[in-house]
Amino acid sequence: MSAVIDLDLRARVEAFLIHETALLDERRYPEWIELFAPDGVYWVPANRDDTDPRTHVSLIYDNVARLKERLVRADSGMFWAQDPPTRATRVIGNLRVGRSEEGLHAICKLVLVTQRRGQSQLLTGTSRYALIETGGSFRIQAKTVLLIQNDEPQLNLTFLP
Amino acid sequence: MDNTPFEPRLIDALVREDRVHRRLFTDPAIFELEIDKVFHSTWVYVGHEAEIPNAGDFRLSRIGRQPVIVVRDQAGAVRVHFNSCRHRGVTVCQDERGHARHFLCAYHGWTYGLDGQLAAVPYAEGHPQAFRREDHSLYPVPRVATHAGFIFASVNPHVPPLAEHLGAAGQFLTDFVDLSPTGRLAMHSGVHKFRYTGNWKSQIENSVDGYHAMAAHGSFLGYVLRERLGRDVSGMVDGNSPTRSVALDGDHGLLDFRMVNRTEILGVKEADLPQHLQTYRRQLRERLGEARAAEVLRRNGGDGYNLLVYPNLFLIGVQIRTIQPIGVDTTEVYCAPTLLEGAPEQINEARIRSHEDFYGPASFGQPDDMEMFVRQWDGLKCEALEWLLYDRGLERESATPDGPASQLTDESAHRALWRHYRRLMLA
Repeated sequence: MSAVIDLDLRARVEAFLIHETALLDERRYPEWIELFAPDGVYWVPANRDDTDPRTHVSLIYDNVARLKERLVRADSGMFWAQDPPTRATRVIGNLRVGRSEEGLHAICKLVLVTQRRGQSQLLTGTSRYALIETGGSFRIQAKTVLLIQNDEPQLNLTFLP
Repeated sequence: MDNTPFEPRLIDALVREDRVHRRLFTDPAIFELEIDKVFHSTWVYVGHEAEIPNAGDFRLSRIGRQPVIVVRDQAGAVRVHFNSCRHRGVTVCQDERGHARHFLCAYHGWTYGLDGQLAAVPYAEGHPQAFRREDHSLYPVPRVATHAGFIFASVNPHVPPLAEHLGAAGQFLTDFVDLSPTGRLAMHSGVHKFRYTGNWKSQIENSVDGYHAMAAHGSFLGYVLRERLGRDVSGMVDGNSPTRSVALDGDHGLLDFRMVNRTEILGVKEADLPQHLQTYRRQLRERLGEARAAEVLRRNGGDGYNLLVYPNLFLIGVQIRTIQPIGVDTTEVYCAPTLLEGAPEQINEARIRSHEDFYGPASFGQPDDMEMFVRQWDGLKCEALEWLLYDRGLERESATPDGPASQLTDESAHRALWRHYRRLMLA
């Protein structure tokens, strides 16, 4: 693969991830879930970064079916933990894009600032993506968010980091 | 009004059978008294033996505000030491949990054995001749006792025996552990930690409050779960449910779901259970015998129970939950799922997933409860509201072998907690 193609790939991945995090900032969750492959996984480990989700509890460990259940909850009119909603800004950077035998992956730093009920919260860490290329764009096979606060007491993560 | 000095005897007027005064949730002076009269006077849960299976394993904990080390010593005994060097009070153990051969105070190098004895003092010749290392062990917490592996400690040397404190709650601790095919829990699967703006008693009473399920958890029960199961199961927790709110003897709280078996409600027969569930049930019968295995499964094989051992231990679903009061307006909650040692791995993975489903900080349950605690903290600033009501079920309470009980949406369990509170605060 030539350096020129790498730069093009990097730019396309970056544009995709900016779009992906913007959908979360704008709370456009149905569109955000559409970015996942049907067997995609969204994982936010708890306590440490290197846990096995089969034997260790996670802050979030969702397949697409469970992500869609979140929409049912949001539409119920009784989603009190998001009444009022958490407002959030996500900034991503330090992007690295690579290919391996397992496919295309991207790693970036995440700075996430939330605001709710007069309380600001700074969350930050590393996001890892396993991506599938689909006709010029991408689907998310796996998104993992490693928060440096994952062992701290949490207020409310129902807005999805 | 909340800034006036507080006379302990006023508690008598502020806690009544059917109501308590809002000031108990909002007054910083009362909070200080609670740390002294509740957390520094009675038995406090500090950890489970499954967290420290081997000699040298430890976890940190707190009794009220006071930091303690819960450790298994070289002889295999559970010890609870204050985490405070006898020289200048610096903590000697920093990690929340781990394995150690000794505890080192990094400030001046005093080193303690797992049994708390002072093993080494740098340049000991500098102390006066009367200085003896054996006089400077880590202070032991005066009372330590266990039940079914649950470790309780008290800084009050005159606290009544643990069995007396537990009362009818003890059997529920035993039953929780007896679900394991080996009789032992495994606790290496992490913990969900929460912090909310609100009083610790909001979480205490919520954990044995059946009345809030249909409203606070309406998005889960009425929508998500209905869609997931393809049927409405709210009859298990509504105002007509056969389940109960129980004031356990010993004044602990119980939500009793034992008479409802979800497997039966969903029409699943034992022969149709997946292989791993049949394996698990066979394991249980082999260890406990037919009758006790059936009893254990009946007692917590369906939805079981929510248990509160006053003041800081809860068993809910598969989790051991503890609360940590930080300030009158700040509370931390720790929810740790337990695994069953020796059970098929699908069982234990299902325990972790079911815990995440409702109790994590992004889950479908606990965040809605925490939102109510925050709203309550704000709403209780209204001084027009003097009394919080706990009168549900007063006229339909009946005696049961575990203690007085009423319907799930009633408040028999709450009244037990307030009786417990009143007794400790007036002691």
